[in-house]
Order: sequence, then C-alpha cells, then structure tokens
Amino acid sequence: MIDERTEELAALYGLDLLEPAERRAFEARLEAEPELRKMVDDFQETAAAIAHAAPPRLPGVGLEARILEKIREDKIVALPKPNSANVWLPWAIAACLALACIGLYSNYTRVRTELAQAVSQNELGQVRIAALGSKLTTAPEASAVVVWDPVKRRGMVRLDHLPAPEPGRDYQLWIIDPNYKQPISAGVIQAEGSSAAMAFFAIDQPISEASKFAVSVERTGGAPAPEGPIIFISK
Amino acid sequence: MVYEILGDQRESEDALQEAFVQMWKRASTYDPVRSNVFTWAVMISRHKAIDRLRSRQRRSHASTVIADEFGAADQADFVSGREVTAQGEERIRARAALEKLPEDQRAALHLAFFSGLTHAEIAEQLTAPLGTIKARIRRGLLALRELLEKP
Repeated sequence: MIDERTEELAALYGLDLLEPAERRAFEARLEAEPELRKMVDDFQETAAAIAHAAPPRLPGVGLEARILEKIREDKIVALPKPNSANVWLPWAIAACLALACIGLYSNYTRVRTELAQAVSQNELGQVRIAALGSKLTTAPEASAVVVWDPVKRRGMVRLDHLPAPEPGRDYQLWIIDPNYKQPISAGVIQAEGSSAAMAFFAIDQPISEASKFAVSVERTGGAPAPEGPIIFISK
Repeated sequence: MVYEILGDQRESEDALQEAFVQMWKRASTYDPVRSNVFTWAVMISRHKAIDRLRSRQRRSHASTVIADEFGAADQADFVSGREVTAQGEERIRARAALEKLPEDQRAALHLAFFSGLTHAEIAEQLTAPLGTIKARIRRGLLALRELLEKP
C-alpha cells in the first residue's frame, strides 16, 4: 500500500520536480519497489497528455533530415540490447521515430511521408514504414505500424491501444503479395492487454515490392491462411 | 510543446534534434510495457527542453510569460478540421480533460510541466505554501488520469 506522501513524491518525480537529493533517495526506492515504479510510469503517461495544451506547431523544413544527418555524421550507435534483438534495432528505431513524429507533430501524413523518404535515403536504406488503416470501430485509437525491409525480408510490427484478443484468439500479421494466391503469415502478435505490443518477423520466400500488410483475428497460435476478420490493412 | 517551453524556434528545433538523437541512442532501452511511444518521446523531448531552459537562467522571465499566457493557452484554437487525425482527436480530448480540472490544479500542472521550475519555485510563483502546491500537483495528475480514462 502506497501512502499519500509517497504518491506525492511519485507525482513530483514523474514531472522531474524533485531536488537532486530527494531524487536520488526516491530512485533508490524505485529500484526495490515495482509498485512504485508502476505508479511513476502511470503519472508520466498522464503528464505527457499535458503536452497537448501547447498549441500545435510544425518544425522548420528539413529538421527530420538534419536529425538523420546528425546521427550519421556523429556515427552515433544505438545502445545494444543484451540479446539477439540487436539486428532489429534499426527497425525499432524507425518505428519509434515514425510514431514519435505522429505524436509530436500535428500533420501525420506529411511527416510520415517525409520520414519514410528521409529514412529511405539514409542508413536504414531499403526499410519501408507502413501505417495500417484500422477497421475497428470498437477501438478507434488503435493503431498499427509495420517496418519492413523487402531485401532482407524481415521487419517488425507494433500495435498500440489494441485490447487483448478474446480467449482462444490471437492477432496475426499477414503479408499480401500479388504473386501468391494466399496471404503469407508473418506470425502471431502477442498482445496481452498492455497498451502496446511489438513483434519481429522474418519471411523465407521472396516478397514483391507491391506487398501490403494486414492484421486479422485468428485462433490461438495462428492459422495457415486468414480465417478471421481483418482489423488492420495497409493502403 | 518544446516551443511552449523554450519560446524560441531555433532553440526548440535544436532541443528536438537532441531529443531525437537521444531516442536513437536509447531506442533499445524503450520498454513498451512501461509506457507508450508518445509518452516516451514527450518525456525525452521535454527533458531536453527543460535542461536548456534551466541552463539559460531565465526562469523568472519564462515562468512569467507562461503564467501570462496560461489563460490564452486554454482558449487556443483547436487544430482545424482537416488536421483532425487520431492525434488531433487525442489533443482535443486532452485539452478538454485539462479544462475540467480545478483552476488551481491546472495552473500548478502547467507550471510543473512547462516552466522548468522546481516545486519550491512553483510555490513561490503561485504564492502558495509548498505543501499545498505538492498536493495540487498530485491531485491534479490523479484527476487528469481519471478524466483521460473516461470513454
């Protein structure tokens, strides 16, 4: 049970308002108290909404390109994760940048297009980013983004604000390639009721550039071909 | 948001650039279980902007400007219809929730989020006891969360 005083400290910490000594003492507690960490995360999630109080303002032309140029010039290397997900970092970063742009700027379509172009001209090379259109009326805030490397035939998908599937069901990602009669399964996406779910996938067979992506609701573990309703599809 | 904190286009873009470079460097530490990408990106960007603001040593001026503009910010134009994307709707929802907060809590949260002041400085700015300001911030966040969770 977290007392009111601790809750107050969590709120102040979440907004970076504590004095250095208070902050250090509180961080020591955070290490040992997962419940407190969760409270801080919740406060920060709420506090982030205050950013919307600022009037929308677009950055100057070329800022995205300057950011990517800076990363390339400085040869900045992303911190590796201590597991085999390292090879996926560029995809994860691209998705984060794409989604962050969606959140921070008001003109979603323009930024997404510019970012995709900027990324395609830089070290992420052939990577494509696809924002999938939602067909869900019950979860209007749900979104899906696929980052895909058609040359290496691997990518990642991220789902946000999507409720956990019903018991006995899973969300499954598909690649729709006009060269194949059936959509190709890219695997099941584990969405266990958290606000976001992410999955990496790799495909063995050749995929054409004209491919689309879709997410459907399938039986647990996935199906060899789509059987359930499509909830997201790329344009 | 970054511009709201810094009030300068060039400096805001520099802060945003630093933020995105940090996102690049720290991408592997992002944990989707702990926060969504929007929160993660906002908090990194805000931190960069606040760092710059604090290093400017212009706290008093900046907070005065924010306090003066606070009322105007509440009545600022919403995004236009053609910009109403999913995020536009999120923005409208967040603003509506903020407007429903008691004024004292809303003022404390605005200063806490945008001004770069410490809690003691916010108390001084709003001429209220420190304990009162801490309580307003806590209660304001709790109330805002409840409002945002309502369908």
